Amino acid sequence: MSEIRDPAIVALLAEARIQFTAGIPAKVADLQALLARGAWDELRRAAHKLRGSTGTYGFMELSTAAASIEETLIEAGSAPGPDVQARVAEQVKETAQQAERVSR
Amino acid sequence: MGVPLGWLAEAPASAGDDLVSQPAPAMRLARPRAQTAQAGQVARVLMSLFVYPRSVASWKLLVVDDDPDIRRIAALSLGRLGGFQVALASCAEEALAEVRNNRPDLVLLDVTMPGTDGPATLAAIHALPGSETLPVVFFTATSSDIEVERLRSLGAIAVLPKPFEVAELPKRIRAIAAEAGLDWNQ
Repeated sequence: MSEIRDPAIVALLAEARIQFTAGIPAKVADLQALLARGAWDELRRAAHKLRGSTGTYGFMELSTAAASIEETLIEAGSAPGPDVQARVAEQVKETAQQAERVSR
Repeated sequence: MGVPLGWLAEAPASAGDDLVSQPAPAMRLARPRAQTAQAGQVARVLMSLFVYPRSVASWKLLVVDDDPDIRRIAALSLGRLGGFQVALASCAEEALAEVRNNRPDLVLLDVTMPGTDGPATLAAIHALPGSETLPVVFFTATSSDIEVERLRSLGAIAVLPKPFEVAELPKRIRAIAAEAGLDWNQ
């Protein structure tokens, strides 16, 4: 967003970012709920979405954290073993921590 | 999801699904044509980057994504910043209705959507009479070259990555159109 100089557009983008940020905790809660249910495909898709949207709104670290969940689950397939599940749980935790930082 | 659809020249402060629609002028793209001269193609791309097309506001882009946050930021980027007319659809059904009723010039289509996904939506769009060659650009959060190639092979003219840079998206769309031989000035 750094190249945008029109104050009106900058203001619109800032407002959009504020609203997006307000919705981040709910998106992370969704990830946690899917993890708890062991809904791995849905968790992969949700992480994929979060990766794209957070990055587009400028939250690159959060995007990277979400991407790690997606990539782990792509690699593992639809029935991840206990080791992968534990790794994904850690990645969801890391994503939640990142989300908490940006939501403050 | 009750998404008001419509063509937009500009996104107001509440940009997103609640955008105010504007009637679209009757304007269609020239069909893609084969580019044989590489120099000509390079020139077109450069022109698209440095010369703001006079008639860009008459171009109708349809953004299809189930994520309202992406629809909102894409509408701001392409509408307010890029000067395109932008319509929004949250699913395949809405996208098909828009294509049938409002004839977009280019579709920006998310890959991962619940229900009918992006590839199936593309196939459905191209199956509509008169829309067989409607240019479709996928956008997706993937870093896999294999996946990008797969998506191109389905009939998309390009694949754009997510996250996307808000300031860059309109330029990318113009460059893609130029590479594909679409005529922005007709």
